[in-house]
Amino acid sequence: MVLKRIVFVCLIIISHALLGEETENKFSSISGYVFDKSTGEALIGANIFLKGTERGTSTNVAGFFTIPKLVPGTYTISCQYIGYKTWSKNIVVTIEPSEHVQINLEPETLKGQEIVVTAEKKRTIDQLFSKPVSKVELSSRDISAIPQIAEADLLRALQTLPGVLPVSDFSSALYIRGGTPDQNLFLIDGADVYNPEHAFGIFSTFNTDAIKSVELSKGGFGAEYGGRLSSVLDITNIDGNRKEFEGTTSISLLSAKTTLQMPLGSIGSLSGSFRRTYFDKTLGPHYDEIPDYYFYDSNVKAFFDFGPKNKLTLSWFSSYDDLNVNFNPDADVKAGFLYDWGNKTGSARWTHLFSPQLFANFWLTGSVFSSNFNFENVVDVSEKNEITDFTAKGNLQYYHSTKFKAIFGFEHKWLDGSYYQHWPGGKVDVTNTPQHTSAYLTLNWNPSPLWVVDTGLRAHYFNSEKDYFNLSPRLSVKYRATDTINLKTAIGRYHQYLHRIERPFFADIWSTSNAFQSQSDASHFIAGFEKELGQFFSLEAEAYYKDYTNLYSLDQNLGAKVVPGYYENDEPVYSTTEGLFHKGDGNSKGFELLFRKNSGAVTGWFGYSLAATKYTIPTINQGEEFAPRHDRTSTINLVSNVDVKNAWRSLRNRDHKKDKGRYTLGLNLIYSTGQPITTPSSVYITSTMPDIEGTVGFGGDNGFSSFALYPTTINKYRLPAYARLDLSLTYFRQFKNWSMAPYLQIFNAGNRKNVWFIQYKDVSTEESIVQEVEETNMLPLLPTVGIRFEF
Amino acid sequence: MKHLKYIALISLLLTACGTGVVEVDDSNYEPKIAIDGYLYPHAPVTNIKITRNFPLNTSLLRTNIFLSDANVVLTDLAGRKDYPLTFNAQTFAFGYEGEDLLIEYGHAYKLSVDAIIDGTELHCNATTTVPVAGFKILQNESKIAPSPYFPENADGSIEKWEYTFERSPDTGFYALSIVSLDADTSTFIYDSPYSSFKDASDFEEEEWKDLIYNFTWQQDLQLKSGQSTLPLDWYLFPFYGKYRTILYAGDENFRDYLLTAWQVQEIDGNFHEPILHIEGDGIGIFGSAIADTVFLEVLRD
Repeated sequence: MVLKRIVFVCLIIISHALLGEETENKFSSISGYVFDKSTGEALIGANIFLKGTERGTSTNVAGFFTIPKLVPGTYTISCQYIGYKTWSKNIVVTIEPSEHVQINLEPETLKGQEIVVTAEKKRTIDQLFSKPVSKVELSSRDISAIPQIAEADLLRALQTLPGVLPVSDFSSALYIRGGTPDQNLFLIDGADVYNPEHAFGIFSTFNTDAIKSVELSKGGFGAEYGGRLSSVLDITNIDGNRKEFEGTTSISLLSAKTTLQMPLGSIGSLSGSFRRTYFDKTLGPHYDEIPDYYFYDSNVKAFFDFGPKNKLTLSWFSSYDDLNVNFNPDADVKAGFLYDWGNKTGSARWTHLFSPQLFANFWLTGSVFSSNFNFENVVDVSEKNEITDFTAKGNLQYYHSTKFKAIFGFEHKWLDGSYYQHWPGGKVDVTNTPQHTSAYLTLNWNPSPLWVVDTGLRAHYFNSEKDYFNLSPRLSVKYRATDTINLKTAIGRYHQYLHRIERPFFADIWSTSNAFQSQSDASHFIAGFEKELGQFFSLEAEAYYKDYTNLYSLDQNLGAKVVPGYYENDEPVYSTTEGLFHKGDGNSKGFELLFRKNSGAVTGWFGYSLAATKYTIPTINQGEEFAPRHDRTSTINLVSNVDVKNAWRSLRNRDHKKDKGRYTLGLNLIYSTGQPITTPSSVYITSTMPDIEGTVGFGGDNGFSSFALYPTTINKYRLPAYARLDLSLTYFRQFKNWSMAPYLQIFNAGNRKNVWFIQYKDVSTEESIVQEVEETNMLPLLPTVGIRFEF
Repeated sequence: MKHLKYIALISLLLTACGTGVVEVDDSNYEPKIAIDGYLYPHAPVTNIKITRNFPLNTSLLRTNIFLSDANVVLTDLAGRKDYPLTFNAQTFAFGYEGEDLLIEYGHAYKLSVDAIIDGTELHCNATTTVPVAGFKILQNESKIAPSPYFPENADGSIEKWEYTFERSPDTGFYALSIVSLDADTSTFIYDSPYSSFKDASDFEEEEWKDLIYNFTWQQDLQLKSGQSTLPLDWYLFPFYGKYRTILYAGDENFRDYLLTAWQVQEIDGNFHEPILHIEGDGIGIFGSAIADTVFLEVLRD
């Protein structure tokens, strides 16, 4: 039914667009790119408009814009972007040829100075109106301003937004609007990233210094994206400075990192970032308690500008974690394990302008995630886990008129997922090599300046042991209800063909839809409003409902359920995913508020989320509905960044200044309802093995206690509420050609003992036994220091 | 109202201090009959323990646990004959006192239990099928001679004990129980590569006792008759001295219980349900197995 309605809306839009427009063929257009004048970096989302008209647009991910169907004449084109001086120019538009403009926006501040935004040129309500439903945009500056563990972290920064939750202090994984981390699509310069986690998930693999822009779609995303049920995180790294050499270097208690940018002659630029932890080299050799562990990540990006019609971007990203554990360093023979994992992605993007009205990006991308685990002299067990994704895709944008734009494209993925584990007596050897083909069309219709209608359709063909074909319709509508209020709604159908085997502290394993698991499906229904509150404030409210079918979650009793596919030397070989997963349905619903201030001496946001997620899985909880572990009823986020001197000036009604030396105070406060948890309902006495029975459970001389815990209702209880306050203080000092910023960060400044989970300890005497509850807490107060240099 | 936002902010900040306290109540408690018993072919039925479960955090006396008044009946499903079991106050277990019950290879047996717990009448039953004959450790083909700890071969590889055994047809699960018979702080192998204990003073209280018992298993072996091997890694042997090892050819109940009942707490601390083949108001294990015993010895250098 939803599909039919969306197709119907598509037809209406096409007919309006094609039949309702003027049929005269005497129009021209203005198109071009917007760059940062000081670095040559393409600017995403810059606003371009023609003064005295209602015509305008914004730049896409390549910095490109076009204003089609212009009547010949003289126009004043103006470009505005936050943190940059407004640019204007008079342009005479003739029928032939179309006008191409390269706009170089000049930053409001000198190089190296942190931008103090005094006012945004474009009205807040206009910015909100041009933003897709449920999309959040963060800059590198936003991310860096949020206090975190040791240093800025992209995924942890996103966890401060309403509707985006962590599952614990030890995880940077994103649970978005009730969805699980595998339902998030991570793209870095167009390439998919699988398992973007360092240090067993505590940190993410994205170096914030290398990031140009981050767009998070929390739901209702358009047909350009597919293959995931919940969200899209689209990261664009910096292209590099095309004017001069530029760099940043910083060191924290966690890692040292640097980002360097330089021009490549007159045709392009090169940027590179590298980060590595160093405690394995500094503290590790002196303390046995510190494991032999390190991680690094690196980014390299080259940008080539072959003129207005052709641009080429080559991007490379890799991350690597390595852990080497020795159980007894004093023993003659080493026994322990080796564990390493990491990502490698590469992408080549060709940007081509077929005509001022037809803009295209084509990508070839590759992404590999692999992990290896090997015991040494313990037991003959080894594991290799790998997923490879090679993708060819294209995205074309056709600007038919001011009222009508079409985005269409294709994507083909060659996937190769393999998992191998060997132990004495058997092995797992699973390989899947499916292909995923999709094509999409999105129609963007602005029937009037008050309305934006986006409708689209994405078609999937997933070719595995079994073939799957699915259609994913999408629709979003925004309406400018008043001068300060926008209304919005979005609906969509989503399909996912990759299923994750979640393993806390170990790299997740990806499985594909096959003969045993079909695709997972979700529908999104979103409605909300946006309001401008004065000059600096905005309020966004969204309510959503998502339903899921065919959700797969790892069966914790898989050891008793897996089925050998064949035998090799009389030993079982598990070659399929049969018995690995629970299958069920679910739904998420919620309401989110985001009150945000983007400019002034005090910036930040207040977020509130009211949510509920329920699963119904026949093989869990006797088939009764239950809340999954990541469900949180209420969550409050308060994030603030204070330019201390200017805030003080504000209090005394004085004008702000761009100080050469200034203090910035960061605050991140989160409060949320405790997580659902299953507690054992009772204890019973039993034997581990028939001949191991100790003394019937009671302590004494042979005090082997055979007490088994028996759970019943799944996730009926909740842990205590979670709360945490993080603080940071940064001192920024500008020198002639360089700047430095030493900082202090305090994670969990209140040292609150947030409960991670509970365990039970048997306290037994000769005659009685009591189970004592032992709480295992999350991270305590963690102060860290660091310093950052820019030159 | 003027100061409301400041009060709200300070309240919120204060929540970021302090301690989250877990309060576990027993409202989730449901009384259950707990079964702990196995049948062995051609062996008497003497050790079926029937107890009750009890809520967490309750001080429980030994005498309150056993359901000595329970009505326990073993039924030979092949012969359609019931065998009432009686409680033995010495062993705290139910058994069959008669001499007309012979547990047969390949036969199915049903255990039925009726009991009253806290005034509530409960009933449960479980069925096990005894593995078919054929399983046996082939001692002459196994590597089971007394050995020093972690012996290194000339090529640098580590020599291990290894059982070779004949499988029972239709039985794919084999579990090995390992019990140190000489365990003590003086026999503990401190220079083991797996040990974090340097000497006896490193043990808190009597935690070394937790290391006395070990087990390992192989599952999903071929269901047809034939031979398999089970290598024993040295981490299973933390003490010098003798070990009693019993290799079981276990039924499905045995397998699912061993693989799930002790794994109900996940890495992130949450719990899930185990697979217990007991119908009604019961939990635990009623399984069957063929057992074969071998003694091993770790020699001091």
